[in-house]
Amino acid sequence: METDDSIIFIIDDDPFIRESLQELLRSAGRRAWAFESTQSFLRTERPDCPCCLVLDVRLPDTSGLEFQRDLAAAGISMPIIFITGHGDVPMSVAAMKAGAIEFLLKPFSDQDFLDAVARGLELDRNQRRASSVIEEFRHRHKLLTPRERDVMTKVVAGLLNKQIAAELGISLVTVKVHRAHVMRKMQVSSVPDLVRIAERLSLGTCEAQGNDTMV
Amino acid sequence: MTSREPAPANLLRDPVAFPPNERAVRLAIVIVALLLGAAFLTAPYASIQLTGTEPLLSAYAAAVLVTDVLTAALLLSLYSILRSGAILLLAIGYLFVGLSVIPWVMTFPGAMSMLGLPPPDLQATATVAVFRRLVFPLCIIAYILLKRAPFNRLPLGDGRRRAVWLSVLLTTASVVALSWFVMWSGNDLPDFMADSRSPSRLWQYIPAASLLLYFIAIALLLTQRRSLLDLWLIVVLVTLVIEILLLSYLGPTRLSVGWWAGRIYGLISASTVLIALLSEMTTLYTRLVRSTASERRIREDRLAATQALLALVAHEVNQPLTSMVTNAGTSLRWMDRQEPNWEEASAALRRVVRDGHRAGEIIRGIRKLYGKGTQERVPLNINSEIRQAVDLLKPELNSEHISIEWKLQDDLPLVNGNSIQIQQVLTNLIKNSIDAMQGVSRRRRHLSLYSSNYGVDAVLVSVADHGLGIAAELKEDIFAPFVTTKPGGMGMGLMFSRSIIEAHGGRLWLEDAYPNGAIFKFTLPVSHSP
Repeated sequence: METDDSIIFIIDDDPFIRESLQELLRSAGRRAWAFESTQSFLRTERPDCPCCLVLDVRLPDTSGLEFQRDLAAAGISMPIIFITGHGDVPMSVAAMKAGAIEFLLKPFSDQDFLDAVARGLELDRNQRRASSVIEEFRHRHKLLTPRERDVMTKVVAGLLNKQIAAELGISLVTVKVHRAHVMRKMQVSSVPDLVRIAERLSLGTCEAQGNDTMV
Repeated sequence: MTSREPAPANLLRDPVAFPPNERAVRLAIVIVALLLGAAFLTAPYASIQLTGTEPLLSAYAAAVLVTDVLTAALLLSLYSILRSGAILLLAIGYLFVGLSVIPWVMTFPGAMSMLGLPPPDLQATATVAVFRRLVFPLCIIAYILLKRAPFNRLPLGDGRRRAVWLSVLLTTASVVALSWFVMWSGNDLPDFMADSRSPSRLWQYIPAASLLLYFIAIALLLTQRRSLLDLWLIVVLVTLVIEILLLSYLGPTRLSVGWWAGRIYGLISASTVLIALLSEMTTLYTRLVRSTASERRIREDRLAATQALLALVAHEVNQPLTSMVTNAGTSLRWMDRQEPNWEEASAALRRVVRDGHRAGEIIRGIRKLYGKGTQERVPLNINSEIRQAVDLLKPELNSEHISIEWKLQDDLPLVNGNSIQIQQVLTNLIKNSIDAMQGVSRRRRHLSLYSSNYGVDAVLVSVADHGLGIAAELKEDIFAPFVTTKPGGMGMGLMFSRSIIEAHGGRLWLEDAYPNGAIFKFTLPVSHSP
């Protein structure tokens, strides 16, 4: 189901095209913010909600493709839909390879445009969900003490309690206590669940470095 | 080398009709001086008799034959291009002299004895020589006189080919007839030679007559307008005069030093025209290659300009099209609902109409810029167009403290053109100059405007500034689209200016100004309307 808090960002230097796209999106029940340059887009504070970006390949101050690279470098990962007046195959291939979800030639059909926007928003929603989940796991992992983290790593590696005790040089009882803490703080009830969390956090392998590299 | 330099208009039409440049004249004078000097050096030894030099005669004869026949061939091909009867006569002269050296050398006492033929009449060689001495200058005089005649230019058609073959045939036939006459006609020949070495008194009239003819020819050539060919003909005639002096007056006996010196001069004279013609043709070929290459570049540039223009139009028109399609789609959406929202739908359609009109205006704007639609051309006074353009830009010129140097030629012919477009070109060039002089100190901001004749049927306009000039690597490209030295510039101005000028039948190009700056020059064809 569509939530109403999504925003579509439009960057195009032609005011008439900006207006026509905004009106189209409005008729489809969507919110759209339009900018005439990448500068004004970056300067504006954007709310934290699902969004996607409609970008003209030819912009006065930079090329759309370059801006795509800049966004990726800055860690902004919203889905991008390119619109362009040129039928440039290499350009479209480069854009798609760099992660754009659609490349539309002007003039495009309004249905194609709305479909691409819908896909973009869906993608963004999923990404957000996924990243918020990971955030939660990280938060939980932060609550562990260093010793507990060691134990968790060994448990996830499949070691028995007495092996863990031997490797870490602590008593068996201590291991069991730490283990219980880990399970509680990580909010899991079985070891497989713990393993899945560890994988999502990229802690799964024995080669994982020590605690100091944990974010 | 500026590959943009336009070739003179009638380059390929009449190469030997061009007045010779100073370099050629100087060269000719130097050569004549050298020849005269050499003659003076030889003079004291002229009467020394050389023995045993008969075998050299055949070598000499072969050289003369080859040189003269080649010259005749080149002149004949020149005739078929230029259709000038005068050149045909000159060619016949060279052909006759070339071919008749055969009977001359064959009847020379001692030269051909190894062939086993019966010894020829003593007077045979001299008789041939008479013809050679007289026919050649007569042909030259005929060439000079016929050049001025109005009926010199023959009409096109295969008449030329026939004329060439006829001339060759007749000349060969006459040489053959002459040979037969002198070799097998017995003792009817006049007594030119007293013995096998020394001429008789009768002979004296011949060199005198030749000298007279040569001087007449030289006088005629000096007093009328000369072409490059005529210049070298003068050199030829001078060497022939020297030859006669050496042969007949300073070393009157055959095979003396003077005689041989005279023969060598004769050879030089024969080669002069040949070498001149050959070098002329090489120069022409080089120019032709250059001009073909430059034409190809022009075609490519024009194609690139057209493509750029198409891209521009496509892009500009695509924008309103896109918003029109989107707005129309939006309108349909508003209408397709369970409860159609007519207000929104009609608002969207109004936007469609607005964008459609916008598209029309964009196209009109581009057409005005390119100018093909407005083709009316009238006879214009280019100087007043230049003054108008400067007037319009007066505010900018004043604010930039640019002084103008006027060098407009008075009484220029009117040119055919569209005033608006020519104004656009002038404005573009002057504005470029203004921009170019931004970095120059105020004292030295001069803009020079020249106008002058350019050949017979064109007018040349130059706009020169003392700015920074154009970087070498940009010079070839600056007329291409999207090339600009100005930030934010579209790079279309010079491209459009050039297409306007070329559409008028002229050319626009760039030259360096010294010590710094750039000169943009363009030509426009003269109006021939009454």
